[in-house]
Amino acid sequence: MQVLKGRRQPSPEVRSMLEAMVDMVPQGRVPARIFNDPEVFELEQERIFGRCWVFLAHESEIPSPGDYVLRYIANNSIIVVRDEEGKVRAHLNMCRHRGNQVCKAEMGNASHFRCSYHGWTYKNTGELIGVPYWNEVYHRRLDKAEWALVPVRVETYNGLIFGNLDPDAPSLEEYLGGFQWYLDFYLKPGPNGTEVYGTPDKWVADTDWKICAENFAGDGYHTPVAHAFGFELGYFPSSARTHFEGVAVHIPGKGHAIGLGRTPGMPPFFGFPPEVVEAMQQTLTPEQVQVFSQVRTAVCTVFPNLSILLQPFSRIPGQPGVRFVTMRLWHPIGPGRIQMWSWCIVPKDAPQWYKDESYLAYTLAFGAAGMFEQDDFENWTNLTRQVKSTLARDLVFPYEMGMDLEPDPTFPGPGVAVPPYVHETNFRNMWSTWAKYMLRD
Amino acid sequence: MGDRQDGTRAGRNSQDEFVIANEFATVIVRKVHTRNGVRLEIASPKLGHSIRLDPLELESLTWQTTETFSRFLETPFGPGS
Amino acid sequence: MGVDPAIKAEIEEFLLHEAELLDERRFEEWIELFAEDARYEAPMRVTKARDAGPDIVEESKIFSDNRETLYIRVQRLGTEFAWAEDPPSRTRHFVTNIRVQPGDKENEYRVRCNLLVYRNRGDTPDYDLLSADRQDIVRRVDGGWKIAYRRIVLDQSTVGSHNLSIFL
Ligand code: FES
Ligand SMILES: [Fe+2]
Repeated sequence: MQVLKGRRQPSPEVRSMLEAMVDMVPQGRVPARIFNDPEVFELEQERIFGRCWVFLAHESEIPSPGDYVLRYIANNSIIVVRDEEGKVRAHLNMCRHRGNQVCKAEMGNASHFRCSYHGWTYKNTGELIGVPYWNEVYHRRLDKAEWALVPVRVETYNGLIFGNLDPDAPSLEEYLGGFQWYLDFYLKPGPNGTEVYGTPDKWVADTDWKICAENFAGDGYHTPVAHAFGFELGYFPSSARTHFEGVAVHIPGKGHAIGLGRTPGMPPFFGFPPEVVEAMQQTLTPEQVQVFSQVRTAVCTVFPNLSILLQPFSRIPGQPGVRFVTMRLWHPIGPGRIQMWSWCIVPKDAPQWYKDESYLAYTLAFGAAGMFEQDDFENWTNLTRQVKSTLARDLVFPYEMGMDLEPDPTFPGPGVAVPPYVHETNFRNMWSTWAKYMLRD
Repeated sequence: MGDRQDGTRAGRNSQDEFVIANEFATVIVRKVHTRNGVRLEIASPKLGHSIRLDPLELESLTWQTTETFSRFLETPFGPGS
Repeated sequence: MGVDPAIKAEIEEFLLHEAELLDERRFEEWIELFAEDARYEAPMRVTKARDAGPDIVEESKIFSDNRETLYIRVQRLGTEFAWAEDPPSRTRHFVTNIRVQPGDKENEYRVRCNLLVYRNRGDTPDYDLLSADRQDIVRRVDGGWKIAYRRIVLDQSTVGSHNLSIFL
């Protein structure tokens, strides 16, 4: 494929900020500027979103041959489609003739796509198979094989479809680097895994994707304050203090991180229905069962911008409640601006009442109108506005929490597990990883 | 409450006639009863083509692969296009 | 079968009063306008081809509340920690194109309106505009009116607001 490569280089100013981060972040300092800056945004488009495995869709969103959804990687519109053989593929949603948008509906089913400008027609594998008046206007000269839809690499893990724009990137398996062990808690609640409930919530907000991704990488620190209403109305059984118990785990050099919050005395696998608890004994390893059965809150970020939260919640405070899982993509659409995608995922094998109740818990707590989500977005949009000011951009934030903590050598999972639940070890690894990507030409 | 009266063809479905559409094409499919039998009519209101297939023709479609249709679509708007 | 103009006028007056309570942030009074068995829902919309069926995904909801959870939302706004509404949104609910039809039960009416909500916060002049097809079932109760069902169909597939901490 003939492409013209134009790679953006950072200005000397941004380069020196990024270089400074190499030593600064492990010592507990992160520049405020990274959280809302036009140049940082532009550079991220190529150096982060052009290289990392970016979440596209859950396999259950395209279960049948021909099913497709439209998603994004950076500012590229991507068709994620299951071809007629059942293989998941991704293509740039751009007609190769003059660049028209091929699919305009955000979901649909098609074996072939026909462009609405001049009618070039592609198989859902991306192959160009039809060109109107090929004999008459091209005199059969145009080689259809040269003009397939631009393919995007896809790989999946337990139902999650990721795409990568970099042909030289390592495999998804290597990229996740052991984080799969933790993702299994969300993705393997039974032999048939998970499915999305309905269609994702979508909304836009003036916030930087990184502050959201950081929050879900284990910011248990904000909960008692930002979500204080939850304690006040009785949504959290624990006091603010016991909320800090648990462990935070990160995968060094990869950026992925999870916070596992525990409540002392919580019954094992509290809030899951018995069917799912039983199934998890089969699908998870004994070590995973030992760890996850104790977990109240599991909140993680798959670097760069996919986050997942698993939480027990009852719509009416004080009632037993259920677990809900929300998966969210903080998709950057401009400096300090995101389009938010938020899914609720449920165990495929769970009884319908549990799926429904789990979804209701999700909508009350998360999504555009979710009571917890509302306050997070309030704080995130405000801080994003603040950090772009001329004074703020030269400041650094302290990331020192937990600098002296030691990893737990007995913890059975991969990565570095540092108790308790609340500290900033995960974030230091995340922003070091980010700086490493941003410095690579 | 909330039924859509949006005037789209999706509302035209009935027992013997229904619409199959995606963002690339819309066809009306219906059973056509002849004096002695039945055919399936597939019509494209956009392009003005239609075909009436009998059960044997329809059955023969069941062993086609996508390649057959990709070949049909080499002229994406019908013969001569 | 048409609806008695006097009833229609009463219902219109009721909805305008309701909008006023929302804009004046009198939520404790507002929630009283909902029947005990009320539901308050906002299904999601998606972008689909014209002929590919409804663009409303019924199983997916932005709001899916009963009277009890709706009241919890009101209570939340009453705590000191509802950061999303502190400082509060300045809202203005424009309720127009009101159409009243008889309901399934004798004391109920289906009311459909065009809803436009203007929302501004803080010291920026920026605002959100939310437009919706709002479908209510209102019920005659003890000489007054209650909302028995509310369905808000927003005219956006991506909500153009950083959160929906307001009521529609
Ligand atoms: S742009 Fe698609 S056919 Fe011309
Ligand atoms: Fe939060």
